[in-house]
Amino acid sequence: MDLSETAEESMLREQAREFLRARYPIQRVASIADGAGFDRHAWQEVAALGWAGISAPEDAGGAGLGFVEECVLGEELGRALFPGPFLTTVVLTLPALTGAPDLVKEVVAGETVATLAWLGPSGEPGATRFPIGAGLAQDRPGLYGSAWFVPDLALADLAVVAAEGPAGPGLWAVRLDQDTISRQDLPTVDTTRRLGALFLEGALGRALAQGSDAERLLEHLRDRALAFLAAEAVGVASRALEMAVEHARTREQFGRPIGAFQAVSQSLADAYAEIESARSLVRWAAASVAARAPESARAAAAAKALASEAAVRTCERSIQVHGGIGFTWEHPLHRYYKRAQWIQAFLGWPAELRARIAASLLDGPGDENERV
Amino acid sequence: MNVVVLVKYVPDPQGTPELDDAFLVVREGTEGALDPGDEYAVEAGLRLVETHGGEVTLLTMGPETASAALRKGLSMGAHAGVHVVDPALRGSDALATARVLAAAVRRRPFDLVLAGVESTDGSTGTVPMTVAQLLELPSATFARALSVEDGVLRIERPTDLGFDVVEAPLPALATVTGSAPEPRYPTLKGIMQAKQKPVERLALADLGLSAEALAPTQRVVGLTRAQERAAGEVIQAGEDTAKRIVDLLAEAKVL
Repeated sequence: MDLSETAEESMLREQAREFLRARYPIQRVASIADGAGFDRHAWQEVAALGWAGISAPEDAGGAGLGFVEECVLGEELGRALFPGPFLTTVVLTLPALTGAPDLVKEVVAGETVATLAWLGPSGEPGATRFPIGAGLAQDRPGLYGSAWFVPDLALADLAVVAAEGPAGPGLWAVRLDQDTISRQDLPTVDTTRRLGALFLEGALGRALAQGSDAERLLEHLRDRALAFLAAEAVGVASRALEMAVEHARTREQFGRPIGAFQAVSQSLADAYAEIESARSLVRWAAASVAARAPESARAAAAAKALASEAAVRTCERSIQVHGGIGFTWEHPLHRYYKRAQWIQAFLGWPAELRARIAASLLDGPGDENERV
Repeated sequence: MNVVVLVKYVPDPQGTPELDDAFLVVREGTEGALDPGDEYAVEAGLRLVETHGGEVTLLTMGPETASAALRKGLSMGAHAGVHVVDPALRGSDALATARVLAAAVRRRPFDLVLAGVESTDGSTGTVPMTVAQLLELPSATFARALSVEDGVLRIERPTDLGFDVVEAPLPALATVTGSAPEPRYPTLKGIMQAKQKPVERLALADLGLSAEALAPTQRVVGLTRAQERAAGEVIQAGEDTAKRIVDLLAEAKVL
């Protein structure tokens, strides 16, 4: 498996970085984060560049690329702390909409923001695997129940809902403007990526997948989310490290730049080594998930565990290197730190992910298909 | 219509270009980009062919790395690129550059040549008009808006008081300013298609030019740092405040 970046991927990275630097300077991100958390017009501008349809087929208005390119973009979006629904709309929901080409078109055009509702109150898909029931013993058919920690819920127009129906598990596309639906904002550390709780009381939905198809799809979506979040974490960490290096080069104490002191430079060198390891794991995870390879669940979990730790630790090192200014609200570092923490907490902490990887390796020797 | 846009690969436009011992801009081993000023010309060219049909061809002269400038323009939507690359061209002055570009433009039919006003590294601002002279074309400079109708190019050129409307029959050359419409960002499709678009590589021999004909006629003989901007004068409120301000304004020839 050749994991090196292709010329096209490098161009995609360069162009994405240039666009994000020009259109999403950190001051703008800060004002969006401290305000509504989302700028719908801006999302349409991003969609017009083809980002929302990056991996949608060309006949649906997409760019026809794949998950590896999504992760290249993901690292750049992380670097910029992009405050838009790329994770939810593109990474978590688009593949579930394949059977509904009209919805794909809306999403690709940036007209519809979509998210995925599949977590229970513990934040785990596994605990109550499908928290929402479909067509239960109520007097009218529909979807009933609640889903928790739904990212970008407040701004979404559509949710792909995982529910347990009469015929087993299923996925439904649910428009969120129905009066059988209510939403509640949950307190979220990173205000560029807010979470909500979704309550359905007989909401109508369009069936997308049923039975084992639905289960497989959900597993694939989770692998995508883990690998993408890992890519984002590498972006967050890289930027936090750049800021620290810049500061260490220019800030002087005792007559020389603070980077000349070993306690500072060695800490930053360690951060660099961690980020590069994470970057390699992300490439592996992205390629595995793109190919839907047997090891993709392990690769995605490993990448997310390491990259999110690297991001949190790099932000902490960067804050220390910045000294007093790194602790202030005005300095952007706390925003990177919060994104890093959001990524680390979502869909499993590093220790949980490692426990799952270990269990899958130890309990099912030789079975590459064993789910993590 | 066929539009040729002259583009240049310049060292990181946000940074300060480095110079070598011969006062030449160091181009190897440095980060670079399509000159941001040229992006406005590419945008203007794309808009014209979107209205009138035809193709935008990008033309650059520069080292191997200059192909990045072509790629950027191609990802914005230009149709083809021409890259003049020859070791003998290293250190070419503005006149030699114009000769090379003119020779490359002449090789195929065209209706309009567009360029930025000046490069962000060399900043001579003379190459486009020299190319127009060599090709015996009318040149309409400093355009903030361009249109073509019935074989006539019409531009708006900003002035201190408003703007002039300048017309020229095609074929013609125009330079485009930064007050023209903002350059577009490449779409994902544009980025991915850029690599498949044709780029022709030309050496001096292909253009029928010899290194001798391109010997520099100008040479940079010295270099002085620009003076740092001095601190302003703060005038404290007092008896002679008004007089001091009036004196300063008179000195600046405002009064």
